[in-house]
Amino acid sequence: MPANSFSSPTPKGEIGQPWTRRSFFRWPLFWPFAVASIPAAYVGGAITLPGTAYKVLVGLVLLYGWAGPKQTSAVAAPFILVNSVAALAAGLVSNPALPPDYAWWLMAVVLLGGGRAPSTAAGASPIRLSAGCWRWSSPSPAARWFWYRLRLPQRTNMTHYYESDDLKKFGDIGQHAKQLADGFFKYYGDVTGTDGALSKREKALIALAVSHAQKCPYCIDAYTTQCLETGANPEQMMEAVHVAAVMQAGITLVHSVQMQNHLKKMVL
Amino acid sequence: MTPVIQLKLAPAPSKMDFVALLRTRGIDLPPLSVDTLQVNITKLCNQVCRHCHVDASPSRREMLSAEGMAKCLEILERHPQIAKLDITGGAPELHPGFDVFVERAVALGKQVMVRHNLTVQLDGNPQTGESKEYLPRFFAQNRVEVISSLPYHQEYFTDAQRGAGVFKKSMQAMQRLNGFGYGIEASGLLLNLVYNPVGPYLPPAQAGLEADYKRELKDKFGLQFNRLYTITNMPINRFKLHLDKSGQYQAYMEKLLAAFNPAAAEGVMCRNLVSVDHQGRIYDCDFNQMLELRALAASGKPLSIFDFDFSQVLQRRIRFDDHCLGCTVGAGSSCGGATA
Repeated sequence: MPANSFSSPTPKGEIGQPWTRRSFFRWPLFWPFAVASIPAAYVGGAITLPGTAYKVLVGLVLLYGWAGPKQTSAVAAPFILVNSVAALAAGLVSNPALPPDYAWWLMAVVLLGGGRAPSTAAGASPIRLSAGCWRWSSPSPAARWFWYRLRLPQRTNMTHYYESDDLKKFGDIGQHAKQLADGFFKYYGDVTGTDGALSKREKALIALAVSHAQKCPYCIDAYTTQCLETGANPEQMMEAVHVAAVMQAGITLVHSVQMQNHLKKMVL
Repeated sequence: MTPVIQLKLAPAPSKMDFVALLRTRGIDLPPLSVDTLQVNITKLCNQVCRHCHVDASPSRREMLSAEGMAKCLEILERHPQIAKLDITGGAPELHPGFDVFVERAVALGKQVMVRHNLTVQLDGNPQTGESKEYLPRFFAQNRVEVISSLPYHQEYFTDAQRGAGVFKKSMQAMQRLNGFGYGIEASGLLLNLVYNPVGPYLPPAQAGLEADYKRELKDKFGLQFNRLYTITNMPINRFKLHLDKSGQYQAYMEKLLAAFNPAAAEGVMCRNLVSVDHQGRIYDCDFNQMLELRALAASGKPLSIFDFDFSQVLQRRIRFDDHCLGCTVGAGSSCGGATA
């Protein structure tokens, strides 16, 4: 199964936007393909058709994916059909006895299909359809779960920094230095997790200000929530950010004293 | 966008298996008593709050029948151990039989609580236009305990959750209640407020927030109340829809799971109350009611007020599901606020 067709960047203006990252993967589309492709591969491997038949078959499937009906619930059944046909085609084309030029046909299906804009049903190639990929307006948990765990080599080409989900991995800083991390987290919990001379809300507001001063997106998310969960209101939170801002401005300005001192030395 | 293939598949098993969580922690939660009969008499409401687990609105029509109300009163009369009647909705005051229901329950010597949304005093009945301005006097005459939602002591959060203009109307309604002695310590007339988070986060500590509410409402509006109850938003119905649409459902459930507190689990309200819907069917709580998870007798028979048997109710197994995490996080959550 051509994993690249739905996990890698597509060639037409979608570099850095893998299908899975855009959550176009759909299990209901994937399963018919997965189930049908195994017997289809055996069928494809067992029979020999004239070369033209392969081309016609692949061409028809490609055409269907290209110009087929738009996505609505009413056309669900044809998509099951096209998945099955695509599975058969993939099985046939995967016949190792085929002459090498059929590999070009397969590549054409993947690339041409992959290159279409995903804004319409016709934009999804049969291979992509077969592989369960579909336009989906909000992230599908199944797609995220699957691809974040599969960790294909393409994922090492990091295209997004500061993923909000990465905040959940904060505990992973214990890898390779567990004792130090444990010490840090205990200290962290002792300082921020309890009411002391300062209330948890006051500490959350301070941390929110520091998050902005240090420009830490993880911390801004975490301490916005923490401020809400300690009963702070938007006015207090915004004022805390202004404290951070005015401190940074003041720090810059107070350095002008150094400039003034040096200026006096330099000027007769 | 609709799914490409509409298959009736079983829902994917959730990672948040609350029943398994209780089992692994060795927590068993049988019913302890039934000291409160909570009755949802209508889903009609003058407001459309964004987090409402009832999906209440001005277009809802569900009403408990006169027979149903009579049956509830009969149950209260026959069972002195059920000391409290908690009337909820929707806006329960919009039920045409509400006044009589309250008066007769009070006459039985029961402690009557009304989940009063404040604004209904000023809005009246959205379907008939009937005025409800008499409510503070009626409540005071019957010494009803009034429990009212106010998600924050400021306009921003309140209107975001409950609709534009709700905060100002709520302040007016509280002034009217205070005018009849509600919320004033010496009067003995209880006005308790309810805080819900305005999004997918957990409520602050109840005591600290209550102090903030008292100070701010007194300083800015001259208002008084008795207690503040903090309640966690349940990931069901309208709030769940919001979580799903904004892609935050999984994160919210993970947050609830991380904050699970066994002590709060021990104090869940379903161990001491039952909830009745507008058709007289019995549930373990108002949330199960909205999910139509009916309370079952040990024999498996669904419980109803029309064949009410106290011993059957006490011997039932409470039906838990993943949403129950909402009542068991942090300091706990119930219709009476924190539990742990």
